[in-house]
Parts: sequence; structure tokens; C-alpha cells
Amino acid sequence: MRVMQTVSEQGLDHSMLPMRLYHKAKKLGVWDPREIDLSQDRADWNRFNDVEKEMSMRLNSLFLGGEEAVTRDLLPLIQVISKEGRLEEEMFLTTFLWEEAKHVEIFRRMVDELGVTGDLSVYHSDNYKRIFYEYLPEAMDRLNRDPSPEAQAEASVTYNMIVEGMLAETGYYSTFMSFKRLGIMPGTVQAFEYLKRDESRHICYGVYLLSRLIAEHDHIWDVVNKRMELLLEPAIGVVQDIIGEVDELPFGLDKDEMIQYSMKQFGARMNALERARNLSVEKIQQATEEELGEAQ
Amino acid sequence: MPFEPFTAEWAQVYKEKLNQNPQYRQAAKTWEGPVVFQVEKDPAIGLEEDRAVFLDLSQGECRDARVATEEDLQAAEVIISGDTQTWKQVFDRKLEPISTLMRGRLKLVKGNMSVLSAYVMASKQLLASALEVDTEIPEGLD
Ligand SMILES: [Fe+2]
Ligand SMILES: [Fe+2]
Repeated sequence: MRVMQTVSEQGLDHSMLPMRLYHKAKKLGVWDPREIDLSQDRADWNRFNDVEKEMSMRLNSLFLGGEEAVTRDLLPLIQVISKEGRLEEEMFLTTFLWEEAKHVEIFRRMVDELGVTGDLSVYHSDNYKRIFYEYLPEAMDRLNRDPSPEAQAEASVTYNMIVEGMLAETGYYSTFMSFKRLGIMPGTVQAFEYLKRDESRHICYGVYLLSRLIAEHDHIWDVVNKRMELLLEPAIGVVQDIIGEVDELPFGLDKDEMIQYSMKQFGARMNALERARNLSVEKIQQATEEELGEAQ
Repeated sequence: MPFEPFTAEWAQVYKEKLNQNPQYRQAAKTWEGPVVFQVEKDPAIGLEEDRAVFLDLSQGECRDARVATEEDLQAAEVIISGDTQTWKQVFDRKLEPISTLMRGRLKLVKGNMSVLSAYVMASKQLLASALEVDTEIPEGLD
């Protein structure tokens, strides 16, 4: 017979990192995509030249497709965590999926409000497709049949470290910085501010999950490294497909800044995961976000 | 046991291995320009000076590999450097090459990461061939 955790002596452990993220999500994750004012963005967009329009739609198409993918693919992980009886983690994950749904909504809303029509999947390069059409759904779907720590680690590396941690975060950061510096697209800038905060919690949970798996089974560190190495090539390829085409990117988008930023984030998280090899699960549950590589 | 990588003999074998690597040839088709691998000195294991190997690379072919001279270091567009421990872990396949570079454990002391990142696959194969060389590295480094 099942044991009900919350009516037992155990109750809820509010000190656990996923629970702290849950409480944070209830405050910071409640923004409404419909309330973001995109009227100035529409005016700015209408003044963009062709290169600028092309680049901003390309980015939007990658972001929108990515958000749809992570929304559709997360469920098997939540199921696995739930079946393992990790109630606090599951409570956080309920906020996670809801937030991804809102991310889909805001990017689609931008397309609609700017009056763009047509098939935006033309912007999805082969590298992009490898990650979002193949590696990600395959790694997540595998959890339906195989809830092993190895499968969880490969799923989380793909989802949290590569898709969210390298691609979404770098993309959102650089677009946000460029628009902000130019003082354009204020609604989009506002949305990116919210998006970055949400993603930071998602990635933090991913680092937590991988750290816990590594602390529980040391060989998972190798699983993580192998998976990362496999995905870095198409992931860097996705970035290259955007920045490699032209000498000068529009909106003052800075290639070096993008690469430096993604390397810094990647390095901080890998260092956190490596530290987990020598930590207990209890220590990891009590870790701060900073200790898991999330600069605040 | 001496620290073997990046000596003149090592460079010769490496050149052969690299030129036999079809994936490198394919991935580096548009890559032009010399690359240097460098190991920082480590007197504790008898490596008194930094040592570097100069790779004259052109469109998927390694035309020459030799111990780098001062001029070679000047001429190189890309210098990838690491300490003996890091290189040992890479050669022992305990560290993955591209992640190690991304984490800055192998440092890009010269060159531009955003340019190099256009050649991830080529860089991966460049390092993969280096691991194919039978390389002796002193124990007690990790
Ligand atoms: Fe998202
Ligand atoms: Fe996310």
C-alpha cells in the first residue's frame, strides 16, 4: 500500500533545493504572456530592414520550435520522478511544464502580433533538427520504457544542459542584450527578462538532478560527459548556423559575446557537476543555486 | 618514463595518423591555417620547458608536424595549451576533448573561439587522431 508522505511525520521538506525553486516559481513564474505590451515592438518591426526582419524571424522560429519541443517532451521525466516518490521534485516540475507552455505562448504571440505568416520551420537547419527533432524527443521518450539513472542523465543533459543551458540561454541572453542596448522591442525585452529567470530555475533543477544522480552513482559522471561531447557538436552547429552566415550580424549581435557567455555558463555547470562526485545527496539537496552554477 | 606527447617522433606518427583519418579530412576541408598544441612545463616530471607541436594544416591535410620553433608559435593562428595533468587525462580518455576546451581546461591561448567553433568536428577529429598515437605519459599525474 502507498505511504502518504505529507500526512506522515515526514511532511514536506521546504529546505530542499527543488522546493526552494518551487517557492520561487510561484512568485516569479506567474507572468502572463498576454499582458506584455507588444505595440511598440510592432512599430519597431515595421522599421526593420530585410536583414533585420529575417534575423529576428529566424531567431523567433528557433525559440518557438524549441519551446514547443521542451513542452511536449518533458512529461516522461516528470512521470519518472513521480514514480520514484520524490514529491518535492514533482511539485517543482509542475511549475516547470506550465512555464514552458507560457513560453510557447509568448513566442507564438510575437509572430502573430507582428503579422508574420507562413511556415517558419524553413529556418530549422540540419543541426537544429538533429537536436530538436531527434536527440531531444528520443532521449525523453526513452524514459517511458527505461527510467534508469543512465537514461535520466542522458535526458537531462540533452534537455537541461544543451537545449536550455546552451541554446536557449545563450540565444535569449544575446537577443535580450542587443535589443536592450538599442532601446528597441521593449515588449520582447520584457519577455526575455521573464524567460531568462524561468529558464534559470529549470536549468538549476537540471544541474541538481544530474548532481544527485552523480552523487548516487559515480559512473553517471562519465555518462554525462559522453552525452555532452556527443551533443556539443550539433549544439555549436546551431549557433554557427546563425552567426556563421554573415560577417556582421544585425542588432549589434556579438559573436564573441555569445560564445564567451555560453562557455562561461557551460564551464560553471560542468564544474558543479564534477564537484558532485565528492558530495553526499544530502549536501546536494541543501546546495544553493550559486553552488550549482547559477549566477544570480 | 618521460612525458612523450609533442616530441619530434610523436609529431611524425601523429601526422600519419591524422592523414589517415577520413573524418578529419572531410570535416577540415575548408579549414586553413596552422595549429599548435602546447603542454606547459612541469619540472616535477622532468618537463623543464613548455613543449609544443606545430601542425601545418591545409584543407583536411596535415602537410607537416614538428616541434614548434619560436617562429612557428608566432605564425600559428590557434594555440591550444594545457598542463600535463589535463593532457594526460585527455590522452587517457578521462576527459572529453571538446568539453575540456569549452570548459577552458585546455586553453585557447591564441586564436578566436568563435572562429574555431566553426570547426568543432574538425577539432574533435584533430584531437581524436592525437589519441591514436601510442603515447606514454608518466604515472602519478592524476
Ligand atoms: Fe522555456
Ligand atoms: Fe525551460
